[in-house]
This record gives sequence, structure tokens and C-alpha cells, in this order.
Amino acid sequence: MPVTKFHPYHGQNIRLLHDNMVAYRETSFAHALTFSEKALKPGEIFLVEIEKNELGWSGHMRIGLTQFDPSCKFELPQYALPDLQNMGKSWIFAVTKSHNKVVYSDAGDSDSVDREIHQSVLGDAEVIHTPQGSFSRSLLLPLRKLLSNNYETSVSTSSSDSALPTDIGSRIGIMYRVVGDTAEMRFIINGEDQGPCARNIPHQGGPLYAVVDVYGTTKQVRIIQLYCEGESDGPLQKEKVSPGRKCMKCRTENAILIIRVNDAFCKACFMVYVTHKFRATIGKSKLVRDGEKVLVAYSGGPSSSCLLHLITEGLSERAHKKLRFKPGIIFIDESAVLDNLIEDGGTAKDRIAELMVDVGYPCQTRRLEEAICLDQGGHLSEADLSSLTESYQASVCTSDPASPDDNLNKARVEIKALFSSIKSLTAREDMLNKLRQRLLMEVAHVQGYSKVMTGHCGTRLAVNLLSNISQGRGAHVAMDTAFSDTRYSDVMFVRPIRDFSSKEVAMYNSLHGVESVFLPTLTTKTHEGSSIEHLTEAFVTGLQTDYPSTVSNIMRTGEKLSTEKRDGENSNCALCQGPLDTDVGASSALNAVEFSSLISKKKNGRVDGCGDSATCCGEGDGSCHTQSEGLKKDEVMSVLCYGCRMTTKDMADPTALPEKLFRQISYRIRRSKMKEDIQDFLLDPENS
Amino acid sequence: MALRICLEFSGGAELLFNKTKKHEVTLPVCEKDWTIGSLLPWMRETMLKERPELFMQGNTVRPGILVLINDSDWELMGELDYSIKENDRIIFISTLHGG
Repeated sequence: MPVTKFHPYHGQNIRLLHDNMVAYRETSFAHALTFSEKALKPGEIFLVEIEKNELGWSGHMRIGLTQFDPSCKFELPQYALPDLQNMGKSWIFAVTKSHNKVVYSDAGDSDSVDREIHQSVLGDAEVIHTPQGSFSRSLLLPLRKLLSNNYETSVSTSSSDSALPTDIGSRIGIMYRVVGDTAEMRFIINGEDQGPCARNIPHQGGPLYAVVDVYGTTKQVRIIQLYCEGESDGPLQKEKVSPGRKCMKCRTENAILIIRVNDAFCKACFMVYVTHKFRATIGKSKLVRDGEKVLVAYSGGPSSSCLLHLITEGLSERAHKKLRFKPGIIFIDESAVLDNLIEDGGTAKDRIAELMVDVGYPCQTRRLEEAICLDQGGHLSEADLSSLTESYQASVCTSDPASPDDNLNKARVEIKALFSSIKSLTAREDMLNKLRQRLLMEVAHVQGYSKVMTGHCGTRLAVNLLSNISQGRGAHVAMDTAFSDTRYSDVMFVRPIRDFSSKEVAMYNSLHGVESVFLPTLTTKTHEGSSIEHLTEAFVTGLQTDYPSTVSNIMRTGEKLSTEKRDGENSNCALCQGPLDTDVGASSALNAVEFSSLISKKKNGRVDGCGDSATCCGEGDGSCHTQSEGLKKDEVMSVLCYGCRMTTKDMADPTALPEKLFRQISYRIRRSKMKEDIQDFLLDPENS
Repeated sequence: MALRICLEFSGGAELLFNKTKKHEVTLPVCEKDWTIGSLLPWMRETMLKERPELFMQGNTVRPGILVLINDSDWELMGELDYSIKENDRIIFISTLHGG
């Protein structure tokens, strides 16, 4: 059976949503008649659920049957009751809070009729059979009733009974069945047949359409699909739109773009919608406080240009409700890694610097190699300048490759070596992301910014979510995609445009004339399968084209995930700072992998013992634990989360990690070793 | 009559078209009306400098590339069936990471 829908001809106050399966009364309480798209067949149940109510009106939804054909576009009356009923050929029933059971008293009816009234057309079985198909009885029940039935507690009966037929969630069905030469109409309210409420319907006189008057308190109803469950559960597919559509909001201007599933917007309404969405995302989180220093990460790309523009607009005097935080802008120059890819990188970077200055907030350019530069702390605070001109000069001087900064140049060489030692593009991309994140965090930390805003849009985050899972970062998915990322102790990452799709971003930029600078990245002009992230992006955008709800579905699913946060200095990954996910049970898959790699090592005859002479001070028995040279692969791995382990595994030599990282790791390992050694002598804090 | 139109590329799509963001082109005379559906193969033959698979997929643009016709979403203009008029401005924006 095809999907049951409302007929496109309806009362003037009705707007049909969700592929004509939801009827919403936009205003008033009248002019809200809707019909089934097709005539009902005998025994077919037309079921709607009340989705929204609006208090302040009297009366509720009316439902019934009519022989007026909505395709004839006959003049619709204001109400189903009494107007449509008075026009004849219509049988309407008002749903009320109680007393919906029909007591049909027809003079001349005998007792046998009374008994028949109470005999439900639905039967008693769990599966209800109608001529059009069978469905589970539970479909007729409101969600609340279903839940309380499942709990099977003694109190449940009272709570389920207290749900009124007019409440939200209530499911009301209409059907007719043939009795002799005529038909009788039945209501089914929340799984209960209310008995015949109209008889002697001349069903042979013309097809019977279901009619629903979304009247009074009832604001919105949805058709529940009884006969084609599988089809209606699938994601909504893109529809072909006819040219010249009007904006769905103001209904006067011509639409210029389609967003969400199939919503057309004009320019003015789209701008209001985007700005509102941005402000609402920040406002709802209640995280960004007045006067707070916020570091805005700017890459020159469309998303961060859009973010920057929204922030500037929000902070400007003409904004309706001014944003009140204090932004500083940062651009990270990744040329150390992307050097060979950028041909005219110089001019693009100059343009980025100009754009940042134009905005008029403190701005700075940092080089990616600073993330691994040794004397970083000192270097950063030196450049901690809040006045615009000075920081611009500072940025010019740091971005000048000829600056005699030995440490930075050394770091540049080091970072190049690091990236060339990583074999796969996937791991390189991952490493770049982690280093960029570290640098942002450190700059924010040193300069006293408590928040970092990044321009991740919804599409980007959906791609990240899926590719992170494929790369073994499932434990951090929630942090990586939520509005706020709190993995760092004193700096919070926020993603204010996470509800925007990349299309909305591109449209916003194009309509506002926001300039973005294109800088190639690792995967530019590579084939689709060059990295996991790139492949996932092709997958998500490909799906998004035909099923416009893909990105939001992925995002909403991601929101339901969360990671347990553990305390302690050693509970975070040394590279990405996410919580360590490797502390799992003995029978886990991770341990199995480690065990098998240990076995295969033994076969090769290379068992790494503690008494490796290279790492010992001279005793030879390993008792001193002195690390004269580097760390062993296993030790580095032990402080990394699973995802970062995969990335470092891809390096030719994991000990080729930058010296700065290396020092942190060995410091941590020494600390934990020491702690272990003196464990027995420590005073228990609870006893002292 | 030959049609003069303006094609613009951004978000990285320009890399495939000689790194030039703005192209003024004249479409040759053709018996049938020029539509986006016939423009795309023509662009592939005459304008694309490299890697056609990064711009097109089948007979349409690759998913992730947004098409604007005179500042309106092409989905509202009939997509491939839109018939091109004189002085139309068609923008191709790549929304993909790294172009």
C-alpha cells in the first residue's frame, strides 16, 4: 500500500508538513478542514495522532467521513461541525475529553443491537487484520500507554487511564464497515473501538473520504501509517521542486534556496533564520558569559569566514541583542605541512591577514610548528598583545620565514620529518588535526582565553563523527561533535555553527558577499578514497544529495552518545587529550589484539625485555629504570588513546614524535613508574 | 544566437578551471536551448583543465558542489532542466573540505 497522506486541498489555515503526513493549523481555530488524499476502503482505518495542542480555544478535533471529493475543490466551510455536516453527505464526530462512547439509540432497535455495540471491530488479538492489511495493535495506542504497559507496575493503570483522548499523543482512528446495503462509521480512540456512531451511510453513493477538522485546542495532527510501515520509516527523499516557489515563511517573496528537507526560503527570511539559529545555539548553551575572552579560530575557509561574519554582526551596535564576549582571532599557518601543495600560498595568506585586520579585533597568525616548539610558553606570552596594531605587527613578524627564530625553524624541520614519516594520508590528516587543536589550546591557555570557537559546520561534524568511529576514536565522538568540548582543563572548545549545513554556510557567504580564502589542504585534488576522512565526506555528501536529512540524522544520533569522564592526571591521552579508552577489561577486543601482536613478536625472537642495555644506566638488570635514550614503542603507546595509537602505528618510528611531545610522554611515564614503585610507602589520603 | 554568460567558481572548484574564479564565456549556437544539463558536458569538454571526476559525477555535478543561478539555488530553478538565458550568472561553490 502507498503512504497515507492528507489531500493537498484543505482549509486556508492549514499547512501540510512532512510530505503531507502532518497537518498544522497556523492560526485561528477555524478553516482547518483536511481530507484523506484517497477515499477509504471498507475496513481501512485512517489513524491520526495529536501532535500539538494550543490552549485557549474551546472544543477539540473533529473527525468523520464525507462523500464530498476534495479534488473537486468545492468551497470549504469554516467548520466540520455543524457546517460540513449540514451540507449533507458527511458524518462528523467531535472528539471530547470523555464520553466518546457512542450510545446509539434508535427507536425500534432491540437489545441485540445494544450488545453488538460493545463488540469491537478490532477483535482481541495482538495483530489486527483489516482488508487492507494487518498491523500490530500497539500502533493504535498512544506512546504513553505503551510505555506504562511495558513497565507493568500497579500504578501504571492509573497513569494510562488519565490520558485523555484530546491530549498530545492520543491516537484517533476512523473507519467504516459494510452492514447489509449500508455502512456504519466507527471511531477508534487509543485502541478502543467506540462503537458505531453513524449508521445507514450510503457507501455505494460515492467514495468516502476521511475528514479531519484540526479545530480548537488541537493544533497539529499526524497520520500514523498502518499499512506501509517499511516505506514510511525510511529517510525522506528529495523532491523535485517546481520553479517559482514562494518562501515558506513570508509567503510573498520568491524563494531563492531550499534548506532542510524541502523548505524554500527567500533571502530576507533565510538571513533572519541563520542569524537566529546562530544566536540561539550560543544562547541555549548558556556557556559564553559577558565579557569573556573568546579565541576565534579562523582558517580562511567558508565555515570560519561565516562564523567570523556572524560574530562581527552579533557584536556590532546595530544587532538586536548584542553579543557580549570579547573575541580575538587566530589563524594557524600550516604551510610547514602543506608546503609543497601550496603554490601561491603567500598571496592567500596575505589576504587572510588583511581580512583578519579588517574585522577590527585583536588578531594573530601562528605557525603550526609552534605546537611542538620547545620554549613555546615563553614565546607565546611575549606576543601576548591585545592592541590591534601591535598584534598585527607581531603576526607579520612571526609569519616571516626569515625571522631568526632558531627554535621555530628547528621545529619546522622536525614537523616536516614527522609528517614524512607518517605513511598514510589518513594518519597524516589525523595528526594535523591533533596538532592544530593542541596549538589552539595552548595559545588560548597562555593568553587567557577561556573559550575557543571553531567554525565546524554540521556537515563537517557529521563527516568527522563517522570517520572518527572508523579510525577507532569512538570514545571521543561525543566530545568531538558536541557544542562544547571540555576535554582540556581550562579551555573549552565551542562550535557555534554546528547546526548549519555546508549549504547554508555557502549560501550565507554568497548572499552576504563574505570573502573566504581558499587554501589547499592535505586531501585537495586527491581521489575519493585517499583517506578515511575524504572517503567519508564523499559518502555523506553523496547521501545528502538524495536524502537531505542525512547530516542532521547523523548529528542527532551523535548527540545521544556520551563518554564517561574520569579524573586523574594519567587518564587522558598524551596526544589528543581525550579520555583514555584503553583501560578496558581483560577479555576485550583490544587486549586480544595486543596479545596476538605479542605472540607474533615472540616468534620473531625479539622480546623486549626490561634489561635492554641501551636503556639502562649500566647495572644491566634494568633495576634503575633510567631512560638514557628514547622511549620504547610500547611505552609511548601506553599513554595514547586507541585512535592515537592507530595514528602513531602508522609512523615509521613512533619514537620520531616531536621532542616536545616526547618529553611530556616520558615525564608522564616516569611519574607513573615512580608512583608505582613507592605505592607501598604512600600514606592513604583517606586515613591521614 | 550565441549566449553570453558568466561562470564563477569558488571553494576550491576554481582549481580545476585554470585557478580562475570568474569566466566570461559565450556559448555557441545550438539547435536546442542551452540548459544546465547541456552546459555541464560542454564545460567538461572545453573548460575543465584536469580531473573531471572531481567536478562531475555522471551527467550532473559532484555531490557537495552547490550551484547558484543568479544567486538562487538551482534546485528551485529546475536543476539540469533550467534553460540558460543571456547574461545569466552561474556560480559553482565547492562545499567539500579542501575543495
